[in-house]
Amino acid sequence: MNYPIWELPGSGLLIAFVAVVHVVVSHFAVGGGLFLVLAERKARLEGDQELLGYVKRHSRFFILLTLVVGAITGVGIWFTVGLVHPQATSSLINAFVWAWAIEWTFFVTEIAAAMVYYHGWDRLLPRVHMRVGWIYFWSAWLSLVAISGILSFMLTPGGWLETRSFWQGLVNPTFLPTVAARTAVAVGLAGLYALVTVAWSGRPDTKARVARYAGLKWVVPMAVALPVTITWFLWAASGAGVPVSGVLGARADSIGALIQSLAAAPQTGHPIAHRAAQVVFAASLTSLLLTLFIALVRPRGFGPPLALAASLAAFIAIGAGEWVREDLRKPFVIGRYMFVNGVRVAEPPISVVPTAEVAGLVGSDRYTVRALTESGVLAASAWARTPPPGSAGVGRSRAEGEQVFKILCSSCHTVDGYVAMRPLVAGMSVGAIEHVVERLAVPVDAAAQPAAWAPRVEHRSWRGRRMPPFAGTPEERHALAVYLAILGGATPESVAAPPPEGGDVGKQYFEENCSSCHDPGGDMAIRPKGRTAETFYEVLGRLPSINELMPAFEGTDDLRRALAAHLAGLSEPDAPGAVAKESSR
Amino acid sequence: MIPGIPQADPLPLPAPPWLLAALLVVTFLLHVLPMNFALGGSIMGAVARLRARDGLHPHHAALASWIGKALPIVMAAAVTAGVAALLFLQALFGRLFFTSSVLIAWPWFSVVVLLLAAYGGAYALGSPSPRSRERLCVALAVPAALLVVGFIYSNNMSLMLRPAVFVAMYRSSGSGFHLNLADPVLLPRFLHATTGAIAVTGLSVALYGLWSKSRVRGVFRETEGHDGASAAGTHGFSRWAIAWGSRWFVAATAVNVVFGTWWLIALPTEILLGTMGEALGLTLSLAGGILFAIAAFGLVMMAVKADSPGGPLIGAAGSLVAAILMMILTRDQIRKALLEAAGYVPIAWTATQWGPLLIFLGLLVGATVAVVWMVRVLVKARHRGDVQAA
Repeated sequence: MNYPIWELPGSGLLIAFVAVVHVVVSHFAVGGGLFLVLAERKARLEGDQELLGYVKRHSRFFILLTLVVGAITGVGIWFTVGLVHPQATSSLINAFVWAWAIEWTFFVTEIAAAMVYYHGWDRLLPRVHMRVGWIYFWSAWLSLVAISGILSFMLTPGGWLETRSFWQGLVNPTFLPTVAARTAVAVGLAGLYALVTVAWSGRPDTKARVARYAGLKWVVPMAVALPVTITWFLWAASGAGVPVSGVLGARADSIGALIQSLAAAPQTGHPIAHRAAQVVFAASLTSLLLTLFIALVRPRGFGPPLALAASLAAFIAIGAGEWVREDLRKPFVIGRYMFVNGVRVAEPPISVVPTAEVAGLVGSDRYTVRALTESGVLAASAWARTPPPGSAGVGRSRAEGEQVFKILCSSCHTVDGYVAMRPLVAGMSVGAIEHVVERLAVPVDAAAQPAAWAPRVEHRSWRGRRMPPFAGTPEERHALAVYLAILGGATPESVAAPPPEGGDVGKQYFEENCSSCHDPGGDMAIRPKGRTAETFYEVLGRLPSINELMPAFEGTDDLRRALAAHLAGLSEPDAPGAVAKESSR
Repeated sequence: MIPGIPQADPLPLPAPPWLLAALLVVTFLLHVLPMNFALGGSIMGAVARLRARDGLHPHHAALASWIGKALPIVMAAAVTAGVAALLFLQALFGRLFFTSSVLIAWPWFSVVVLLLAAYGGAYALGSPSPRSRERLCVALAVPAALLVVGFIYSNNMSLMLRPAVFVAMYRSSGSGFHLNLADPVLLPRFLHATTGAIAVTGLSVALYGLWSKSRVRGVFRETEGHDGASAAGTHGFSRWAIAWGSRWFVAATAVNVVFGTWWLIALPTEILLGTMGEALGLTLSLAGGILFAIAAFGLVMMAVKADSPGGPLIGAAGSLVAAILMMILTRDQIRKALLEAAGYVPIAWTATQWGPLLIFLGLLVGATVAVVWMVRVLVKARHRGDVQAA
C-alpha cells in the first residue's frame, strides 16, 4: 500500500520470535540489576564472601546476556517491525520521537552503568560500586517505563485519538498496569536467572542460600503480584473498550469469569488467544511449583536441569502472555487508529488538521478506509503488480485479487501456512466470499445502525472475528473473491461461467450470501423443522432481530420468495452434512 | 508526486526539522567514532593476532590484547549511539528509509544476526591466550561480520537516496533480497567509510601508545604471562604503537584520497558541481573536511619524527574529529541535494512537543553527567590501583 510489503509469509511470526527473545532478556536486564545490587548489599552487610563471590560471577553472565543479546535484539525488534509494519512504525516514530529519545537517555546510562559495575568489582569502593548498581537499576527500570508507555499506547491510545497529545497517548488507560505487570515479570525473572547461575555452583551452602533468597524472596512474591497486575491490566483494557472477555472466551469481564474461562475449552472465535491464556496460567504455575521445590525441598542439591526447567516455563509463560496482549489488540496494530494491514481507521480529527499550506504538501490521507474504498487499494499502491492493460476476464480478476490479498490480507494470513486462507475458502463460491468480505467489519452507531468509520465507532464483525474491514472498491472485492475462490478449489472456468439460465435463484442466492455462515455441514446449518416457505418469507424480513450479527435481507421480493422456497425445501438433516448432500443434488 | 515515495503520515513532526537534523548529526558523530574503532580495530586486531601467532612479535600480541579488551566497550558505544542516530534518521527520512529497508529486507535483517555474532565475538576476544586457534578464528570472523554489516548499511543508506528505482526494484521481486549494487556510488562510499575506519583506528592505536607511556607498568602487569608480554611492558611498546598506528593512519588516509575522489566523481554531475562552488555550504563543508584531514595527516607525520609526539598526535586527533564532522555535514547536504533532485519534498508540518523535548534535553544532560561520573570513578580507581601496585 503506502509502503512496499515484504513478501515473507507469516512475517508477523518473525516479530514474535525476535520480540519474545528480547522481552525475556530485557526484563531480566531490569530485574537482574535490582537483584545484583540487593544481593551485593546483603552479602556486604552480612560479610558473606561466598555470596559476594557468587554475585560477582553472576554479573558476568548478566552483562553478557543483557548487553549483547538484550541490546542487539532490542535493535532487532526495531529493524523487524520497520520491515514488517513500516506504516505503523512510522506513526509510532512520529508520535513518540521524544519518548524514544527519553528512553535512549536511560538506555545509554544503563549500558554505561552495566559496564562500570562489571569492571568495577575489584576497583571501586563498595559504596561507589553499589551506587553504580543503583544507577543501573533505575535507568533500566525507567527505560521499561518509557517503552511500556508506547506498548500500552498501541493497545489503548486513550485521548490521543482525538487530541494527538503526547502525554495522553503515553499515559494511557493501560500504562500503569503495564508498568506494574512488567516490573513484576522483571523481578520474578531475576530470581529465576539467579537459580540458573547458582545451579552450576559446587558449593552446596551458597546454592542453598541463593536458592532460598532468590526463590522465596524474588520469585514467589512476584507469583502473587503478577496475577494482580495482570488482572488490573485486563480490567483497564476492558474499560478502554478492548473486548477482553470476548477474546478470552469469558462470559463477562469479571475475574471469576476470566478464571473460569481458563479451564474451559476454547469456544470463542479466538482459540489461539484463549489457548495462549491457558498456557500463561499453566506455565506460570509450573515455574512457581518448580521454584518452590528448589527452594524448599532441594535447595542444596538441585542442578541445572531443574533451574532451567523453571526458567523455561517462565519464558513460555512470557511468550504466551505477549501473544495474548498482541491478540487483544486485533484487528488494530494501533488501537482504533490503524488496522493490522496499515489501513487507517479515519482521517485526523479537525483539531490536528494541518494548515492549508501544509495540507497541500501532505495531501489528504489516501490510506483511510473511506479513501481506499473510493480510490481503490490498487490505485493507491504504487507497489502493486497489476496485470497489463490489455488483459481481461477471470485471469485479470485473479491477478488483481492476488495483489489485493497481498496488500490487505497478507500481514496476517498466508496461503497455506500460518492462519492459512486456503482451508478457510475451500469450496466457497465467488459470491459467498464476496458476501463475507463485504461484512468483515461494519461500523455501527449506538442504535446498531451502519455508521461511518471514526476512531471511537464500534464495529460489527463477521461471525465475531476481529477483522479489519475490506478497504477497496467493489471491483477489487470481486477480484479478491475470484482469487480466493480459485485458491479454494474452484476452476477458472467455473468462476467465469454465468449462472445457469432458469436455475434455482433461491439456491444460488443462499450459496452466495448465506452459506458462508449457514454451511449445511456446519454447526449453524439451517434446519427447516417443517416450516413453510411463507414462514421463512416472514423470517427473512426480520433477520437482525433474530441475531444482531445477521444482516438484513436486501434483495427483491421475488428473490426473497425464491430463497424462502429454497429454505423450506431443505431436508431435515439427520447429521451435519446431510443437507449439503441434499442441496448439491 | 513520485510513485516510489510513500505519502507522509498524517502526523506532524514533533520538533522543527533543523533540530532533528542537528540531533542526527550529533548522534551520528557519537556513533561513527566508536563504530570506526570497532570496524578498524577488529581489522587491525586480526592482523596483529595473525602476526603474533609465531610468538616473535610481542608488540602485536600486546596490541591484539588491548584491542580485544577495548572492542566490547566501543561496540557497546557504537550500538548505543547508533540507536539514537537511527531514530532521528527515521523521524526525518522515514518514508525513504523504511522503503529501502523493505527492498533489502533479508540483508537488512541479517545485520541483527551479524551484529549479535560480532558483539559476542568481541567479548570472546577479550580473554587471554591470543595464540589459540579458536580465538584466531573469532578474531577473523568479527571483522568479516562487521565488514558485511558496513556493506549492508552502505547499501541501505545509498538506496534510500534513489526513490526513482524503488518501484521497479520491488516489482521485479518483493522478497527482500535486493541490494543497491547498480548504484555507482555504492562501492566508493563503502570503501571510503571502511578505509576511514582503519585510519581512525590507526590514530587511536598511536594515541594508545602515547597514553601507555604514562602507565607502562600497568601494561606490563596486565599482559604479564602472555607471549611477549614482558617486551610490551617496556617503553618500546609505546614507541612501537605510536609508529605502527601512525603508519596505518597515514596509509589509510592516503588510500582514502583515491576512494574519496572516486566517490565524488560517481555522484551526479550537478551534485559534483555543487561541491565545487555552486552550493556554498556543501563546498565549505567538503573543503573544511579535506583541510582538517590534511592537517591530521601532517600532524601525524610530524609526530612520527618528533621526540615528543604527544602534541602533534593530540592535535591530529582533534583535526580528525573535525574532519569527520565536516564529512558528516557534507554527506548530509549531498543527501538533501540528491533527494531534492529526485523530487522528494520534506514535510514541514511541525507541532513541537516542547514539554517532552525539554525533558529529553534535561535527561540527556543528566545521562551525560552520570556516564562521565561513572567512567571517571572507574578510570581514577584504575590509576589508583596502578600507583598502589607500583
